[in-house]
Amino acid sequence: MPDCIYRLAIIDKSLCCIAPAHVGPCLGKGCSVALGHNISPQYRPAMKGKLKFWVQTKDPRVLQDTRLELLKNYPHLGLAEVCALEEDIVKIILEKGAEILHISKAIPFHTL
Amino acid sequence: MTHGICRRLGVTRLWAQGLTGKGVRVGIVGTGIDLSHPDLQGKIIATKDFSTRGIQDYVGHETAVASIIAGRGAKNWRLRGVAYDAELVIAKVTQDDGSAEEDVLIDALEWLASQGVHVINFSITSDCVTDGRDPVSREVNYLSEKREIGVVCAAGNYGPSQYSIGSPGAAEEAITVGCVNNQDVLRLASSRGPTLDDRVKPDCVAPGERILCARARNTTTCDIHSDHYGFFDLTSFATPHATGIWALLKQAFRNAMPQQIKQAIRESCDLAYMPFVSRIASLPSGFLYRLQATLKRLFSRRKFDEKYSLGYGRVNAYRAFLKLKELMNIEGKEKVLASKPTTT
Repeated sequence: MPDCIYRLAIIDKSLCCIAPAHVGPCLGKGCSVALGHNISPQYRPAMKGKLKFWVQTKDPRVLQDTRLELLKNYPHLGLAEVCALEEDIVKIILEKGAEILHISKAIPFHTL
Repeated sequence: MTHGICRRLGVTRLWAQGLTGKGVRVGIVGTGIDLSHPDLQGKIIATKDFSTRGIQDYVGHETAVASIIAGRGAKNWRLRGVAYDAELVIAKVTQDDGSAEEDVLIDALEWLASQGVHVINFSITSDCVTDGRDPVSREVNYLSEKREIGVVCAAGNYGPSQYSIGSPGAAEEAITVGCVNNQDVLRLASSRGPTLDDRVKPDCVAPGERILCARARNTTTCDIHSDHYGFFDLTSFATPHATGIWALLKQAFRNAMPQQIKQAIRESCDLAYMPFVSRIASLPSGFLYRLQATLKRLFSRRKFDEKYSLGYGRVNAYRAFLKLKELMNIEGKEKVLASKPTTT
């Protein structure tokens, strides 16, 4: 089982991959050097518990996947909030990538 | 909210014309409200707690924000808000530590829309840099485009690095506000653009240094001034100035669309300065002119910095009013012309 999820984002694309934890710092540094400061590598140990994700999909059947727990649907935004393991999300992206328009991890907000 | 800031922003000139926010409903998303504060008596027409901890403001954040927008100045008239006759609708979304979740924020924005608000103040943010396609930014765009509700967002306090504007400040339809000090010089902590997809943000800046406004009961998150007041800092408290100005413009032009008000505010800004440039500019002229020109060439990147740090400049309510009047007249005439039958 891999122990890290890497999310590498550039201006209009983001890539999610699984690799061993010790690769993280080298991967992040390597990508930053290669692609300039527009890239913001985010890597951290995979969470054991389930996390919230936002999914936009062309095919509603994606949301019926048993690995996803549907929390809320926002049809006016074209988004659904789901709960899942990070590893499962990566697997779903690999399996059904063509049907998924957007997927992102829920982000925390706070007062300034 | 001190009278001096209102005068500097041209707000007092709108007050003199009878524009005080009357009949405009302002929504506030955040830490709740201190309903017992004398400056907010009779101002709040609806509240909803999405945090399950009660509507009381234990952080003191949104009580201050509310008083900058629409405080009555009960103890001192010089401390009244920008749109002191506006009505307030409060949605509490944060836990006691000031954190909130995206789905709660979207639900709160939807509820505020159902309460008939004209503009929403959003002084909480995420530190994740986005391209404006995250869920909360999408909701902000939806409210502005489909429900005709303006949303004024704080840029954040993650400066001075570039690409430090998070959600929902990165939303295309939001008006995103950075902060300057009392000399209109950008504060270092104010978040800088561009967004991840290289759009200009923030849109404008407003005062955010030692803003004297309402302090919620039993809170100490500010520099305490007296029983009911405190000094607050940075973009959270710059944003409500722009929200208040939005409310005044909405009162003046009921039919104005959020996009028109945003355009008017952006295109009527006064100059604001970058910290370094302002120091050079304040030196006596003469031989320093050449030095300045050389430095400008050397630091040509600074132009890029200015654009993505100050936006269009520091807000000016009176000039925004004139600009909106112009925009409404042009579009009104265009509509009349378009409706006239053409003869062949």
